[in-house]
Amino acid sequence: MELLKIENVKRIYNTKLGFSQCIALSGVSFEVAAGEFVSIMGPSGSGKSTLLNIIASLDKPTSGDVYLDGRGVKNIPERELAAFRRDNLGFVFQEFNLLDTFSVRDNILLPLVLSNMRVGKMQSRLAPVAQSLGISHLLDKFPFEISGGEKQRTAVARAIITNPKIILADEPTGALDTRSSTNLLELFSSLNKSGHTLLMVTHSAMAASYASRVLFIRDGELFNQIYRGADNNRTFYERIVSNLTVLEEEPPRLSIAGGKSNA
Amino acid sequence: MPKNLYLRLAIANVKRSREVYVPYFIAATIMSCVYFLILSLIFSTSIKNVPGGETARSVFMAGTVVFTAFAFGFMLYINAFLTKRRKKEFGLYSVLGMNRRHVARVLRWEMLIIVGLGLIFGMLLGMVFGRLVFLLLLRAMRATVEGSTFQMPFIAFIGTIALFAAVMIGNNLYNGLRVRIVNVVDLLQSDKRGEKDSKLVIPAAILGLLLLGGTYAFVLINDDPYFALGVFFPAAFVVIIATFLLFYSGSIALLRLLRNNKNFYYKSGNFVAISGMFHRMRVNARGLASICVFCTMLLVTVAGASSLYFGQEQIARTNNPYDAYVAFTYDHDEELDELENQKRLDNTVHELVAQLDALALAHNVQLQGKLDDRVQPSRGYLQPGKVTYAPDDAPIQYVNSVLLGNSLYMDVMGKAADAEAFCKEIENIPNVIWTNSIYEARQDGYGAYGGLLFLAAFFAILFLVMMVMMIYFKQITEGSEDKERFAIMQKVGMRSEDVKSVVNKQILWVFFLPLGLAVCHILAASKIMMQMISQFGMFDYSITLMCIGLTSIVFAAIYLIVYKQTARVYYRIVKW
Repeated sequence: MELLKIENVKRIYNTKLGFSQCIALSGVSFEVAAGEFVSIMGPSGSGKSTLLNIIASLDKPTSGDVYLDGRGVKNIPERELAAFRRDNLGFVFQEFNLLDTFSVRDNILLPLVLSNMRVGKMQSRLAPVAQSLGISHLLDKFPFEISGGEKQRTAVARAIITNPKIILADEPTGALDTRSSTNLLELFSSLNKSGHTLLMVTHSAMAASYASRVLFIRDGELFNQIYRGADNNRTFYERIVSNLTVLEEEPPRLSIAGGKSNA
Repeated sequence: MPKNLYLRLAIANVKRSREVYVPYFIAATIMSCVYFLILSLIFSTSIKNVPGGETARSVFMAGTVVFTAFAFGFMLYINAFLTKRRKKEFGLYSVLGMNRRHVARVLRWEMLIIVGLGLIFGMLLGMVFGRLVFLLLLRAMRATVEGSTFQMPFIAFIGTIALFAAVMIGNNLYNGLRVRIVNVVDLLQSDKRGEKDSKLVIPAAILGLLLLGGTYAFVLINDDPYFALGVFFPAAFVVIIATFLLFYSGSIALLRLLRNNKNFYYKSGNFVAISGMFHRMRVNARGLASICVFCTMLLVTVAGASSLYFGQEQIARTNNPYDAYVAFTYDHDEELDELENQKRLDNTVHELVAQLDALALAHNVQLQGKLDDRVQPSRGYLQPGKVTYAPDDAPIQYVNSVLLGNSLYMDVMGKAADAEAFCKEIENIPNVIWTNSIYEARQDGYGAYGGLLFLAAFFAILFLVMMVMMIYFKQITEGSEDKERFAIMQKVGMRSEDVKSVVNKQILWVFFLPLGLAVCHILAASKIMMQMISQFGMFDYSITLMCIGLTSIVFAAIYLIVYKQTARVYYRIVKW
């Protein structure tokens, strides 16, 4: 059953005076099933970040709908939106977005505190999460005292502590060195294996090769998508790279349609 | 490079950071205006001609020295504060190829624009409102307007310009130094790390409490009013130190306590507010302590000056138990015996009393002197027409006036204007060498205390401007620092209502902690204030208490308005 359903989402930005329009997304549709690990790839300006922001309910589509677990995000009133995000979505950002005023522990607990959870319950949730991410020993440190990889693992802990339906990651390896990136991606894989659904925007083929499916976006529309199938990381990586080459080389199409083909 | 590039850059910077420069400009304008007014009042001849004006002038003169120091220090403070927060921007200039001397030149222009415009505007305002202020001062001094007009002496312009020139030179030196000592990499890096938790908190808290408690106790226990004046300034100094120590350690200790109380800390509003304050507790503590000190100074100054002003009738009465006092001389001859000299004295007194009676009749007033515990008779008392020497324990009922040594004391009954005229003429009576009256004392009092009240108002404006600026700059700086944090929190799922409540909570602390301690200070200081005031001859403590109470209430109201405004600005900055 699909967990996330994107239905013909368009996003058009008006320039300052409204004379010209900028089409960021020109009708994107796809679905994500529970337990999937989906990567969205595309060159800069392809609209992938806009798409993620819309899914994250940080931005509203000009037209089209986003359904999470059958519920239309569009219909959620403004003042419930924050709570909706908190309870259903987990975020991992490129710049980690940890609060430097909080210790690692408090950073992780933030969403729970915001939903007014009892202290005892929070603590009992924190322990296994920190344990599984290997950051138990860092809990009392502050963000400026830990490495980039550790920061990102803290961010992941913050994202999963609410037991979200889906984890959204925006270029999570963008600010990490190779080694930390690999660690993080392996962490994502294992989270996926333990039942978490992940949606990750990236422009690194290496990062995308950890996913079970890769969507390619170009010029605001879905260009292509490939499934991992039985491939190992290496072969999947090569297929992604060759798809990227096609993505870069093929001349822009004029028609607006969600491309869908299995390579 | 085109010559006016720096000027253009400076103008662009000023335009871009309006939210900072507009308040800075306003502060500079107010400073310049008030300073110009004080100097005008001191140096113009107009106030000299006013009765009691000489006294008011000397009050102003003494106040100006302190005022100059404060105004100078404050202008340097604003500049230092603003320059410090622009680290990143200076780094960018360096990357773009400007060397430090160029950056300093841009800064010089910016300051010239703001401070220079403030100076000019302030003097213009001073010229426009000077007359009004002068009339208000005359009113406070109960002086008539006739014969005195407001003047703007040349030296007032020179003095104001000199102060601002000194400010500009000081700021330039500071900015030059500031730009020079940091390197580019430092400049470009924003400082994200929080302040380290300090180990000195407990000792500092204990020391602060001891100092504050000790001073409070000392001041409250001391019952000797002669002691008060000597003790006040050292005590104030110790209290200032204690305030800084307490805000530093106390706020950290309190925050630690709150943070360790898990059930309190992990509530959505408290969580963000407490950790935010923890993050910059030291800067915070310093700011809060300074705000508290300024609050206290303002309250003490205004409450003290106004209670003197409103209590001056009592002061005049204490210093003049009788309405009028006449010292006279008589023809004392060493070679004659005591009885003969006594006769001469009696005759002189008789003549004097007769002349006084005639003068009183002419002025339509009545004289009477009543011996009471205010004056102890040393030699005797007078009845109309004859001097009688009373035995030490004789009851003294009713006399024309009181004879004490070679002095006569009397109360003057009748219309105030008549009585005043009568008192003025006494000194023309032969044998009178010295007279004094409550009417003169009142005039001097209005001059001195009216002048003092005015000076206090000037100081109040100064302290208020300083405090508002400190609070405002503190909040907008923190607002721009917090912007990113609040954005992250909203992404993670914080509602905008939560943001509002956090902002309110955070600012509430910042505002009302200093006010609270300031009120504590002034309550503890009320006794020593009253003791000092009693040195002037005022013993009615209710006036002082009322002045303290009223000043505090008015001040709290102003403070509340500043709080609301600041909270709004802050919320606008961090709003997503």
